[in-house]
Amino acid sequence: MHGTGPVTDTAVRPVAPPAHPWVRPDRVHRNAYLDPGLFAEELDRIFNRVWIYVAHESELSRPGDYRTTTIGRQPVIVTRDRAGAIHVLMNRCTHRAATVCQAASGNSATFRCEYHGWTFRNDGELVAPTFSGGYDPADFSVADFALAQAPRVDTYRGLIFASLAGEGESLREHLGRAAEYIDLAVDLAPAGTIRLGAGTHRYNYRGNWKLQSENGVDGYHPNFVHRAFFETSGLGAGLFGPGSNGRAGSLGRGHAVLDFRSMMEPLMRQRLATPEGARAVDRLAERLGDRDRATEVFLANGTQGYNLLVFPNLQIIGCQLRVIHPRAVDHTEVDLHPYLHDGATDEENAARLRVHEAFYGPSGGGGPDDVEMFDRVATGLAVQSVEWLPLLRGLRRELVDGEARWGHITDEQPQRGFYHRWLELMA
Amino acid sequence: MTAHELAPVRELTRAEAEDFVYAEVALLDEARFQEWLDLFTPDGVYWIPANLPECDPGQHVSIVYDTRELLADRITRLELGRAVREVRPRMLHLVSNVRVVDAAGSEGVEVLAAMVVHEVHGAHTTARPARCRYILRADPGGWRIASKTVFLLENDQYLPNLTNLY
Repeated sequence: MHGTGPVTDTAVRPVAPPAHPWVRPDRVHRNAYLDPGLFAEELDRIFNRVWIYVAHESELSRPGDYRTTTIGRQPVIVTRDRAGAIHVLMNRCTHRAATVCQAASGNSATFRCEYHGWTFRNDGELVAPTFSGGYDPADFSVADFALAQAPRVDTYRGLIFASLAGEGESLREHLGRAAEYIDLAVDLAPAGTIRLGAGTHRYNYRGNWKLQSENGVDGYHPNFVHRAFFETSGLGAGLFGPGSNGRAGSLGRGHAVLDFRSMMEPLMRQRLATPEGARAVDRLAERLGDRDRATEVFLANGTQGYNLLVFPNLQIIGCQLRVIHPRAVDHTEVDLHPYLHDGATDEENAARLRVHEAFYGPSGGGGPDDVEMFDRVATGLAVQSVEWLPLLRGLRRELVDGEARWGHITDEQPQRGFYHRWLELMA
Repeated sequence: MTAHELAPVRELTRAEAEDFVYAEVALLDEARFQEWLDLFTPDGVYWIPANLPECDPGQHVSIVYDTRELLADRITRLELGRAVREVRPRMLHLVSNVRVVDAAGSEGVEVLAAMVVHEVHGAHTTARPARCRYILRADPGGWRIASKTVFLLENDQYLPNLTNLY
């Protein structure tokens, strides 16, 4: 898996993507970040259609557990019902449209709308309207007023996704090669599962959601934006430079990876050579039944060895699941959920939290610098005479690998892959 | 023998606590970060919890959970002026409601205060309310901070960058 992988050709993409006036295969128009009409179309054609991450199973371990989130801008409640089934309910009373659940998370068999008292079970069913004598059976049937719910819900390695489209590709088809990188991260946990529940970093910025989707797999910026962090952290300036041996790739279906495992490998080999490292690989090999795979998983160091973008708005980076919520064309909210390793000691998991805090969150040593850049981009986009943002870096050195395309760690291949999928859905 | 001589740490009056906190936040407002860092004991902790009023930082992510060493790194980044966000802040700490709640605790003296931190970022001015808790210890050079905890009232909300010191 390391290095450049199987390379079949350096040809340009064989199938030309559909055309859109504001997105071309190698550049994006400023209107793609500014136009409210386009933003509404993105919600409709992307967020209402593809699989969207909504929660992690560890947040819903008992019947009655729930958490609220959004799909695009639509509020939903992710629940586990009495029978253990997961539902993604639209958080909208079927009477006068008020949200029926206000809390971020909790445990409840029912949700009661505070407006007129309608109560729904956590599988969505309406128990009964209040003062039901006022409703004539000729007009009203309880079955017609259940909470709406996402027609398709599925999980992969504990990550719960929902699709608001009744039909379409399966979650596994959607994830494609991104699944390999989810596996690599989850397999590293001693018990083979990860969990949330360690709290959330939340931040917002006055810019378009795609800025964050692009940035999480942009290996060109760290050398500049995060130089102070690299200098003070001992990682050294120049890690993400022209001489880096890391690679950036689009994985197909809009997913992308910034793969710096090879850049971290000397450090990980040192760890592997310690008694603790050897024990960790022994434990992994015992569980996975494959020593080579165990070594690969150890050396990858989970998402501390690569940044993964799962199209359109989930990133697995560092020790976190990052969810990007589009709120308006120029307003984005971001949740960072640090994930812990099941089977690891409290000390090991606490250390993961400290690693996360060092770089990420509103006071981190790196994340806020990205947010500052989003603000500057938002300001700069007001310039009307320059219309396009180029994604030309590494265009002529793409390596084709099945559905994937690989480039140097600083190349804009991940962003071109993201927009390739965007075009398929939007054009 | 007086109670004062028996106490593991010197007692602190409210007036002294106020003087200490006013001087401490003035160091932040004046960007005298090294002097501020020097107020911390070697095992000192600077903590801004996330999501909850209070939680176990071993089990729960924090906005900041800095040992003295991490805090020194943070200040280095501020002073390098090379982290793009962390330009010299324009900020003002307003401190009130100072109370000495445990004048002679075994860990140190516990002081609570209410704070509003005003910050100017470009055209935006924010006022961020917080409760603060200090554990202070006496040493020959004066009072030292064993911990400073800043409970932002908004710590469960979506926040903009919080790269200054609070």
